[in-house]
Amino acid sequence: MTATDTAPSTTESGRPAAGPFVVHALGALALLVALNWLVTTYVPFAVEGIGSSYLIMYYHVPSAIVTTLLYGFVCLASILYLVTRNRLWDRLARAYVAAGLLANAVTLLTGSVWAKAAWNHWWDWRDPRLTSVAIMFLMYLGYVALNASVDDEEKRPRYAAVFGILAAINIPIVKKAIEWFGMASHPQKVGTGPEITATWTFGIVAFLAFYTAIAQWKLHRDGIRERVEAALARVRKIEEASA
Amino acid sequence: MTQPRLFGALVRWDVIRELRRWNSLVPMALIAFVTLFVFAFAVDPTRIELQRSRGGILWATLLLAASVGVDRAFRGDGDGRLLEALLVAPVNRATLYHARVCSTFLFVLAMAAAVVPAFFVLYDQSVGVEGALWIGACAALALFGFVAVGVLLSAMTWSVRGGDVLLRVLLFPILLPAFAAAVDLTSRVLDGREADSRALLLLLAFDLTFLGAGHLLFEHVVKDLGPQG
Amino acid sequence: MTSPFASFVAVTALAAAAAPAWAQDGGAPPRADPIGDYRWAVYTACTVAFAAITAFLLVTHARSRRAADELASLERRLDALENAPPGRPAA
Repeated sequence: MTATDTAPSTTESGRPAAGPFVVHALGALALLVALNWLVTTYVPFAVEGIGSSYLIMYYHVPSAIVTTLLYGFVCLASILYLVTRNRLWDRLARAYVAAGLLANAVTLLTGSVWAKAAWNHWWDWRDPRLTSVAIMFLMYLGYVALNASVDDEEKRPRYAAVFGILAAINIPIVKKAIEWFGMASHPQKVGTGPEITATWTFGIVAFLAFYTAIAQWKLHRDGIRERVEAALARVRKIEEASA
Repeated sequence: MTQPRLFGALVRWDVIRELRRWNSLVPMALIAFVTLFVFAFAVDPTRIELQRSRGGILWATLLLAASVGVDRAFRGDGDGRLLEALLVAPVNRATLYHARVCSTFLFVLAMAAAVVPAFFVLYDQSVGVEGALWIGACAALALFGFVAVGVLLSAMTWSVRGGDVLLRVLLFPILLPAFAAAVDLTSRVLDGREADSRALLLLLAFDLTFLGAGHLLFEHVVKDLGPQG
Repeated sequence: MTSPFASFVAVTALAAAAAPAWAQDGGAPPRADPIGDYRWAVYTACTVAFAAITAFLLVTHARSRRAADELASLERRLDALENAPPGRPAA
């Protein structure tokens, strides 16, 4: 594996360039702080029937939407890997699955807290978003398990790519199935108003910046780790040759 | 030999092998019966209320049993030679996939034909002719979907360490929408409520989606084994 | 080294930092209200959490960069070893 095989924003020595990532991470932080500010000062304080616990929605809904976007990108990266066989796409897919699982976990946690605050139980099978996100979480945990179980480095990216595609095409089917056959659903609209819509739209941008920063971070780390393993393999070969 | 004839030959070969060794059907049926008994002790079968409990028990049993058959699709006798032998033939990868899906589906369907009546007996259920037709259609579509996804995943997991567990970890979450649809339809029929044809619609969409995905993706899974088809 | 994406994020970040200037107080109860104070506590906690995560990402990323430099020099030495004629120890 050569230095040119690593992520795009690396320099000649394969060193991850600092600039883009620092801007990305700090930009994401600024957006999230702004989101917090909006939730605290800008949006309506409470909503009919649910009270002020609805404020969690500004973290829950954007995280849910970003989760789907990240998994969609994983599907794209998987397809591109199968077509081009460029390992960069496999690394991107794994990094974005990690970020997606984090977003997924945040969605589940915030959804759980919201269910407890609003309806007094820690899990709500009647919430279609919570149920579909839980299934997505299980599917992509399987993706990680698959990557961990296959030792053959030639097969692993192929298998992972195939499963990444299967899991992603299942997402719309899962949502439809839960809508039709899930337990009675909760009202999804928590009221509309320009402040509410603008804020959770802004939240999507903020969380997208945040989770993609995490994905990029993981991508660089994985790149380093793979280069270390490749170097160790070369050392072993040299030792064997000189023995 | 053309691909359709190879398809027919492969399916015939699978069925003959199965009739000789009973590698899939018997384990599937045994697991299913054992599971029915486990559920009978988990919930009182004489007093199961309405909603999805009874349909759920039937489909949980069928799912667990079908996963055994799917797991065996490429594992064969466990020595790894089955898939290699299959790939030596000048068969298109997609044809191989479809043949495997077809033969595994036949075995799973045969298992269901034995297990569903057993369920009706053990849990004291009955349905009219129309109900039987709904359940039959539901079973055929849902089990086909199980097998279409399962065969593709099985081709990945059979050679991996802990592959049998990994197969279930990968397969069950993906099957959940089809499972939910099947449970909903079956429960409605058992309760005597009006059957919802949207379940069949979703199952059909599920089947076509994953059969198509399998058709396109199978060659990527078996790429390195045997001569290229 | 900048990219269009980084520039976009930078501009958005500046706009977001200016957000307090244009955010309206959407009918929230007076600040003396205890629930209103609770919102500020949550705001502070979330901000601190996000800042901590970002700091962690930046620090570990900086460490990866140093590791990449050392790795690059290791890879150059491996190149030299692999290309050295057999029987002759590398310099």
